Amino acid sequence: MPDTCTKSVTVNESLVHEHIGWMFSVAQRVLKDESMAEDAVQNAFTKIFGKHETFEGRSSLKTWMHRILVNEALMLLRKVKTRKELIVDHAAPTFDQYGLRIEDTRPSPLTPEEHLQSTQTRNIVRTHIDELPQSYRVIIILRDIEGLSIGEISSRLELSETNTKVRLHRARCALKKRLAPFAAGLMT
Amino acid sequence: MTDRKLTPRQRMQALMFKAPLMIDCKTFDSFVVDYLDGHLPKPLRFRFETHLRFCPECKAFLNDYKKVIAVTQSQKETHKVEVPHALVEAVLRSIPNET
Repeated sequence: MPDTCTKSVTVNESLVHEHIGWMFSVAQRVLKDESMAEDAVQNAFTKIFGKHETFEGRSSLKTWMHRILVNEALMLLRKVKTRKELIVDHAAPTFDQYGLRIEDTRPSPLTPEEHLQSTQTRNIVRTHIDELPQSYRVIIILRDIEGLSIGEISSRLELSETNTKVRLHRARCALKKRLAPFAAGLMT
Repeated sequence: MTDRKLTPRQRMQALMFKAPLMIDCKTFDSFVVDYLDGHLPKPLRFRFETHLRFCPECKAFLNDYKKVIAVTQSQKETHKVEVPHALVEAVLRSIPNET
């Protein structure tokens, strides 16, 4: 019985040219460092060249390469001694003694639909993502930009799923808080 | 947790959210990630959505939260970078000969 799900990957120059752009972009986003991003991409390609015969076609080629790349980037990230991180808990939602939300209920200035195309908005969002503490930044990037599931993120970062969800929630809340005043300015 | 004096509306909310099948804002908050991922079990989803109908604060919070996810997701398409030539060369050089 032949293995019907096996697809071959042709390792050649066009494979490199076709994928290196998005791979470098993802690596830079995760690592925030150009030379580390170069290492991650090179390591990922080394793995891809070495393992291309094991690609079974259960996911798309890009998904398979993306998984390898993210693993390489995270491995490099683990090696970097992390600087003391800012506490983002102050950005977490607050509740009163009855479990009621204490939140600014003014109408939201955030209207991303209208502003997604604005370079200024994109730069502001990127800056604020980059400024998040690393453990939060990586999770928000992997989930909301790279589209990994909570399960995938927790296994790659060796965290429990509950902890991963808590960090993701805190990261989004921190970003929400940081973006609010800038978004208000963009609306005028 | 912050102690505060409640307005009449908030007092009513505090009582309402203690009723059976209701949840308070803090519990609502702990369900947000699973709810948006579509992973909240049906009975909890019902409680979550019921809370949403009666709590303007959580409704505003969730709207902003979803917008933050949307602006974050938009980074995927917009973050274009130039690949260093040396990197391309190095990767091309590492292509195994036998293939």
